[in-house]
Amino acid sequence: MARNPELEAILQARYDLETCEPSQKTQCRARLDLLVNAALSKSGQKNLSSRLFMEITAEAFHDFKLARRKEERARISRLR
Amino acid sequence: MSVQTDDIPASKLAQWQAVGLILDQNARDLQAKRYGRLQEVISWFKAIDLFRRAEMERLIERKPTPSDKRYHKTWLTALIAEGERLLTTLRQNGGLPRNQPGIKLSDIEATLEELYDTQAEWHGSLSPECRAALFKEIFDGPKS
Repeated sequence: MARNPELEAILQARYDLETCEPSQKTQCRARLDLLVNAALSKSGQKNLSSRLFMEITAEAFHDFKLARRKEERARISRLR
Repeated sequence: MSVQTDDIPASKLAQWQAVGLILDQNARDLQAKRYGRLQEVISWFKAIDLFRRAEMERLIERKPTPSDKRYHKTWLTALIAEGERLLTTLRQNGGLPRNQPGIKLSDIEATLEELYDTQAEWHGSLSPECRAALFKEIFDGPKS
């Protein structure tokens, strides 16, 4: 799944936020916000909100999560 | 709390029903003031974990039915409302005491933002065409 590396970093940061321990949420959120704001600035879409950005990248995020889930299942079946 | 469904058998909705049961139990515990503030926060995080599992299995690993989307929207809204209530109460009462899992008020705020993001992701108002056009503008199109 080769994609824009900026997008990949954002999807990873978002995945990390959803899957991290509760005590790590603040830190993960800060990293995600930093990456999203950088992507919006770079694209000249400064007026786009971070929330709208999440909506725009929804399908990419679903694909990302599904790929991670498959990797996880493959890893577990190798261990068995 | 229940959601009306008519397109799939109840046995297929077990994961969503489990989320609903946990949310109901959390609400009862809260009303009875059975546990302290930290336990309320921990229960909220556990309900989110269960919700994420149902989301993965019902919405991402397969094509979601209208009932799946309905349940998702309902429980997500309930989790957001519960998070907002927790935050309000904690702010009024001097925050969260130091605790063994290391959860801070800012962690609850960050999690609530995460849930709002999920709401936009699944239940936002943009059309697929508009999403695709904006995606292309930001990333110059998906490179696959």
